[in-house]
Formats: sequence, C-alpha cells, structure tokens
Amino acid sequence: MNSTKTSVIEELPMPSMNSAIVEFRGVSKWYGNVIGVNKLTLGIPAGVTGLLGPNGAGKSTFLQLATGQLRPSQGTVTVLGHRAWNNPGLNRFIGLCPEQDAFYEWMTGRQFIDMCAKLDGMSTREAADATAKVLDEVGMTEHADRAVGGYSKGMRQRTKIAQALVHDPLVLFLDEPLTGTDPLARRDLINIIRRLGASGKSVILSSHVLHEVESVTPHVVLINHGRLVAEGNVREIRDLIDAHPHRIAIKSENDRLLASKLVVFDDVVGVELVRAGGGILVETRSPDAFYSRLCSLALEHGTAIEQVESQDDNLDAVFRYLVNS
Amino acid sequence: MTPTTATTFELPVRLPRGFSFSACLTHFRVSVRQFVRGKRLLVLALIFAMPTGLAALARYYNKADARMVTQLEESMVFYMIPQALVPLTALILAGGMIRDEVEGQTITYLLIRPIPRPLLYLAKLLAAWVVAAGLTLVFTSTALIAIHWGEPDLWGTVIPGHALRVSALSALSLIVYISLFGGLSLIFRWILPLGVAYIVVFEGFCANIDFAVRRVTVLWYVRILAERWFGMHIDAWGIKLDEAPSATEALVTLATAALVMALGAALLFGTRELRVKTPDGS
Amino acid sequence: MPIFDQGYQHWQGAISGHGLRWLAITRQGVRQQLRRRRTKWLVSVAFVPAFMLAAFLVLWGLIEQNSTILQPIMGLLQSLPEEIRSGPKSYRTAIWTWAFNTLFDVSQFFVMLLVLAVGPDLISQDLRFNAIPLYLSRPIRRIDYYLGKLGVIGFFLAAVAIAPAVAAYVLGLAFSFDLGVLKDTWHLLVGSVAYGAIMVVSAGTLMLAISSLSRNSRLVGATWVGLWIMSNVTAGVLMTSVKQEWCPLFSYTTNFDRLRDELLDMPAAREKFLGLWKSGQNAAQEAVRPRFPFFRGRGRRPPPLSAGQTPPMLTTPVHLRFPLIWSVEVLGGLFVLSAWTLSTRVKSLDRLK
Repeated sequence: MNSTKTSVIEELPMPSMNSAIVEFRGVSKWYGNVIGVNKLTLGIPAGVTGLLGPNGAGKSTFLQLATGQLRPSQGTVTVLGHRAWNNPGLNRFIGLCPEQDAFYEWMTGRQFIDMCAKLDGMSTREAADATAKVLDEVGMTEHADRAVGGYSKGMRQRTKIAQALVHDPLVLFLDEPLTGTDPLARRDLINIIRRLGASGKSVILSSHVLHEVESVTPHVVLINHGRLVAEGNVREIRDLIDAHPHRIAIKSENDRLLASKLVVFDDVVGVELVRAGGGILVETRSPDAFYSRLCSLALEHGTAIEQVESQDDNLDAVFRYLVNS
Repeated sequence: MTPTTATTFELPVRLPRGFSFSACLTHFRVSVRQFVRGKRLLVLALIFAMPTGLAALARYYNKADARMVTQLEESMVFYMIPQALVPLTALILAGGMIRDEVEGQTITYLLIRPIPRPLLYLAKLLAAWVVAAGLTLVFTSTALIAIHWGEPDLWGTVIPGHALRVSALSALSLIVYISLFGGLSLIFRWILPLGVAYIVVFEGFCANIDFAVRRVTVLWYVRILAERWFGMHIDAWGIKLDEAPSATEALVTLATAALVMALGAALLFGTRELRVKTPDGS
Repeated sequence: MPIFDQGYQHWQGAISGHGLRWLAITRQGVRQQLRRRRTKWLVSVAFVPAFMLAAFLVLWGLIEQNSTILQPIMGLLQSLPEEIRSGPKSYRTAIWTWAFNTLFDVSQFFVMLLVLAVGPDLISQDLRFNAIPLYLSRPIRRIDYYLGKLGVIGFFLAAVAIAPAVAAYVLGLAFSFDLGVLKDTWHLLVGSVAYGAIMVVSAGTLMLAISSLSRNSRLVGATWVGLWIMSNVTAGVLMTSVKQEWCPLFSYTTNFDRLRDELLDMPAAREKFLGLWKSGQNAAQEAVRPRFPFFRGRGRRPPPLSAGQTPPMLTTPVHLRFPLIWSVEVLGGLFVLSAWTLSTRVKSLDRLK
C-alpha cells in the first residue's frame, strides 16, 4: 500500500452513513427503448462521493435526475429531502458543473459568473462579492476579464466549477470535471475538489479517471448499464469480493525459488512468472494470511523480498472486476 | 490544510418561498443581449431595411409623381411591414429562443437556477418581443422618412404620428406572433418552414379573402384596429366597418390569444424535459 | 518515442482517384437527411405535381390516339376548341410545353422548401462541431468537400424536379404510341434537365455559401427564407412603384422563371395558343353578327382585336419581359459570389474554435 495515499485519504471527512443527501428509490429512466437507469435504489450520504462507471453506464442520467433536469420514468429522486424534478427552490442549495463545454462565449468569465449569481437571486453587490470570492477560490481572478471564448480547457472547467459554487450550495454535482484537462489543470482541479470536501460541502463527482477519484475520496458508487453495481468504501468493496483472488506482485532475489515455496499453500491459487526479471504475480484468496507468511519467507535463504505491491487494492481493479463480471 | 468540521443541516432543508424578481430581470436582460448580438440582428436589420431602400428607389424614379407617396405608404407600411416583415421577425426570434439555448447546451445553466421554468420561458418571450418591437419602431420610422422625405410635416406629424401608431400596432401583432411561434417551437423542431407556410398561406392568403377564416388571422384584427383607431383605410383590405368587430373586441381577441398561447407554452416548457446532448451521446 | 500518423495517411494500398471522393460525402449526407421524417414527407408531397403531369401527358396521348378509353369523359372533351379536337397532334408541342412549364412552376415552391429543409445544416453544423478538419485531414480537397455537400442538395432537387419530369416525359412518350412525339418535344426533355441542373447549381451553391456564414443552422434557414420571400416581395413592390424593366430581377425565383421560359420555348407555345384564341374569338364574333340583309355584303368586318383584350396567360407575363441575358448575369453573379464566399469561409485545417 502506498503510505502517501493512505494519509491523503485519512485527511478528508468520512461521509456520514446516517442521512442521505441524495436518495434514489426504485428509479428508472428510459429514453424510448433505451434505459438510462434501471431500478436504481441508492442513498448518497454527506461528504465526497465518487460516481463511477464506463461510458453509457448512466452517470450523466443519474446527475441530470439528481439535479432535476430529467423526470424519473419510475420511482422518486430526492435531494436534501425534496423532490428533485422541477423544483426551482431546491436549486438554491445545489450546484452543478455540467459535462458539456458550453458558455455564452461572448461574456467574460466574471460576467458569466456574475450573471449566474444574479440568476440565483443575489443583488448586484452580493453577486459582485460572491463572484470575486469564487474566482479567487478557483484561481481565475487573473483571467476573469477575458472573454470565455478565449479560455483554455482548464480555465473553462474552473469557470464551470465557479458558477456552480457562486451561490454557496450545500451539494455540488460535478459531471466529469477533469475531462480534457492537462495534468497541471487536473491537479489544480483535484485540489479544489478536495478543499470543497474538506470545507464541509457534499460533492458528488462523476469521472472516468479512476485513480484521481480515488485520491479525492474513498467513498464510491459504481454503476453500469444503469444499475448499481457497488457502493461504499473502495477497500470494503474490495474485501467483499471474495470470489476474486487478490493479485500481489513480488520481486525477490530468486523469483523461481520463491514461487516454488508459495505454491504449496492452499490459499495460493496461482503464481505467474513475469518476464524479463519482473518478479512474480501471486493470486491468493486470503491476503491477510499471505502477508503474514511473507515475512517469514523473506527471512529464508534465497528468497529475500525486494518489492511487494498489491495490484488489487485500488479502484481500477475493483472497477474492472465488477464491470466485467 | 486542516480540514474543517462538516457543515450540518437538518433534512429536509427549508426551501425559499416564491421567486426572485431580480433573477428574472437578469435573465430578461441577458436574453435581450443575446438577441441583439451577432449575425441574427444583422439578418433582421437587412430584412427590415428593405422598405427603406425600396422607398428611396421608388422616390428617385418617380420624383414628379404625387400619388407615389400614398402608394408607397400603402405598400410598405400597410402591406410589407405588417404582412411580411413583422411575422418573419417574430418567427426568426421566437422560433429559436429556446432551441438555440438547447442546441448551444447553455439551457442547463438556466434550468439549475432557482427560477420557475414558466418564468424562464416568459422572460425570454418578453425579451424577444422587446427586441422585435424596437426593430419595428426604428425601421418603420426610417421607411416613413424615406417615403415622406422633403415634406414639411415629416418631423411634426409623420414620424411622431404615423411611425408611432404603426409601430404600436406592429408591437401588438408581434406579441401574438411571438407567442404563437414560441409555443410551436417547443412542439416542432421544424419551426422555420412551418412558420413560413403559416405566414405565406394562412396570414398572407386567408387574411385577404372575405371569408370566415380571416377571423382567425392576426392580420385581420390588426387591420381592424388600424381602421378604427387611426383611420387607416385601404380598400383592398375589404373591411366593412359596420360588420367588423369593434376596436375593443379586436384588442381583447388579440390580447387573449397572445396570453393563452404564451401561458400555454410557458406551462409546456415547465413540464418538458430538455435533453442536452452530451459528447458520449446519451 | 515515435509519433505515428493517425488516420490512413500511412496507407500503402491503392487509393481511388479524386473523381468520386465527393460521392462518399454525398452518400452520407443523403442517408442522414432521409432518416428525417420531414424530408421524406416533403419529397413525397413534392412528387404530387409530377404525378399530375404524368397523368396529363397520358391523357393527352390518349386524346391524340382518339382512344375509346376516353369515352366516359367525351362530354368534357367536347369543350376543347375544334382545332384541337380535329388535329391534336399539331398542338402537341404547345400543350406539352405548357404542361411542363406548369409542373416546374408548381414544383419550384417545393424545391425552395427542400433546399430550406436539407441545406442549412450542411456546412453550418460542420463549422459548429469543428468537423471540417475531419474531412480535410483526409486526402480530400476542398472542391471534393463542396461537391459532396452540393451533391446532397442536388440529389433531392433532382429527385423532385428532374427525375419526375424525365419520368413523366417517358410515360407521355409511351402513351403516345408515336415516335413523332420525340421529334416534337425532345427540347422539353433537354430543357427540363438543363433547368433542373441550373437550379441545383445555383440554389445549391447559394445555400452552401449561406450555410458557411454561420454556425447556427436556424439563422441560415432564416436567411434563405428572407432571400426567397423578401426578394419576391421586393420585386413586386418595385414593379408597382418604380416600374422599370429591371425590377423583376430582384426576385431570385423570377430569374429561374425567365430561364425556364427560354429553355422550354414557352413563347412559341404562347404563340400557338394565342393563334387558337384569336381564331376562336373571330369565330365567336362571326357567330353573333346580325343576319339582316341590310348588313349582308356591306363588307363590315368585326373590329380588330386589341392587344389589351388578350388574356394575360397567353402573353409573356409582365414579370418576365426583360432580356434573358440579365437573368443569366444575375444567377451567374450569385454563383460567383457564392463560390468566393465558400472559398474564404471554409479554410483548410483551420482551428475553428
């Protein structure tokens, strides 16, 4: 396990499991013959939650249902205890950073966010103050007075997040906020999202970029084909997948000798030699027992361990397994 | 960074009552700015400038003809503007007022604001009407200037009198057309050809034949008001004042039609899903 | 790490010549348009005038044959002038010309509507969604792109204007049972195809040029409507107020009408009908002349017909009484302007955002 990762995750407030901020009860949504979400029942607690799924999984449909843009064909969607569809009063408390890259291109960033603030009901002075504050928060003060049409992708994403934040919502929905951004912009956006989570806002973040979701929150919701696949702490989800053996990569001074020692144990279901001195890949049903055994093996002659890495204790592995199963 | 404690709130949260008038006003202002930007305004201005250009040409070629002024006023101000330019302007503005936002994917920013959807629609409709009425006033005035150029009462009677009266009538017909085309644009994607067919066949043809069907055209009521209020009489209109509705009846009919269509469309907008296409094609 | 070419620019196999590359764009565009209900509906409705033309030509063919099939409607046919009943073949050319002219007159409305239906998206949507680099990064020249897009409009216009006219001609020929029809009316076939081709090129390039001016296809459509309707209104107003010979030129569709008039040789047909009408008038006047001996032999002839009494449909319409070359120049000028607009608006591999 990467110790740096652990400490980052532990910094963030863990979501409360008691009350759901967003609640889907038996929700289905179809477009003609195509199902967007399929009998989805789920409660998202306060805190930062990652919404994951492959293309066409229903993530955007989920977010549009939660933000009241779509009406559920079946079931009920409630956000902060109120019906989401066509409930303008609720919009005062939610913010959405939409997926589509669309603006009133002729406006400057400041004008655009100021307009959004005023559409949220703020007076001219309140809007100006809120705009300045949120521009500073997202790091766009320097570029705020240029037309949005001239912004880079990263600036546009920041501007979108800014318009979602300007009215200080309780819940923030971010639909693929990292798409199309360069690594630097992505890092900055992730830091912004972390700060939002740390400041007490509930954030629901939809993304394909799995390791970045993982770095923001351990609490994830996985959906596929419009259905809920898994929900909870990524490690807990992983632990529950008993049928799927854990894969552990080990490099030692003598890979073949270590492999021959490992195969005798019942919980080891497979050992693979990685080419060109890349170590061995072990599959085990009992990772805890395996790790405890590894220490004594490391002390034995000829099998000193140089490197150990768990390949499965990350979101990518969980995701691939669950989606493909 | 030291994490702060999570904000706590009780569920369900208390929702604000009513809506913000200033938010609606902001939406109205932004919509007006959208309508007067870019190529759309240029196209409308070019179309509306035609009567002025034609009037100038006609005056140039018929300097000695005294009847020319009456003929021009009749053809430009009482035919071309109310029968072609006004409905076409309404179609261009109202036909795209929601669809442009949907296709430009900016409708999302409006739908996630705490403004009731019907009010979003009505503010857009009002903005379209204001822009169209402004264009009509400006270009009706320029057309009348071109027609009456050189006359002594041009600035005393013609512009303040004729221009304002014609523009007022045009504004009234505009609100009806804009309500109609705005509502149709929510139902039909193909609003432009449909609107053209309506303007050419229904308003253009039916309004000019002495048959019951003319009573459902906007143009007929506008002409009745022109005759009753302002004494503008054109033989070709074929209006018999003793059989035609009174000015009040005509006004109430137009206002009711506009109100019903606008409110109906606003309610429809309030209940419709507006799906914005996302890159992954959902 | 080497960066390799994307697409098929590294393709080593055979690549076909440029001659038919535009066809791929046309095919895709046509398929896309045919998926829309409105296009299918419009094309179906646009065929109605062609069916009526075909039916009329078939009927005329049967009249020429003096066919017994026409027995049930013989009463109606009695109202035709005696000259036509006794020698229909001598009026064949005029009748066919008038019929084809009427078809194109009616179908012109549908042609303009079809251009409005299929045209605005062609380039404006490519500009909007930044798709032009996708085309031009392939071995496709700009001319291939234009021809491909023009082909989409051309397909539909040909479907409602050219193809029905040709099909109606063939049907009329078949029901005449007389190869002399071909000799008398071949100019209609050639004229119809030429007229259709001119409409495709002129209306097509103009629509493409307008489409390249904006990313908003609705605005493009509005501009087309403005051009079509307002140009007609403008010409009408000018003709009543300015009353100059050039006034009709302001109407875009009137220029097509003028060309069609020449291509189908309508003046000759009008001349033929005028002669028929005049002889009819003379016969009518003879019939009502008083039979008193007082007048017989006095040699008083009926007053000659004045030009003002001629029915308008038998003379060249007022709005077409200007030199043909003017219409050619107007349409040619519009074509040049459209081509120039296209060449400046669609640039190779531009960064369009």
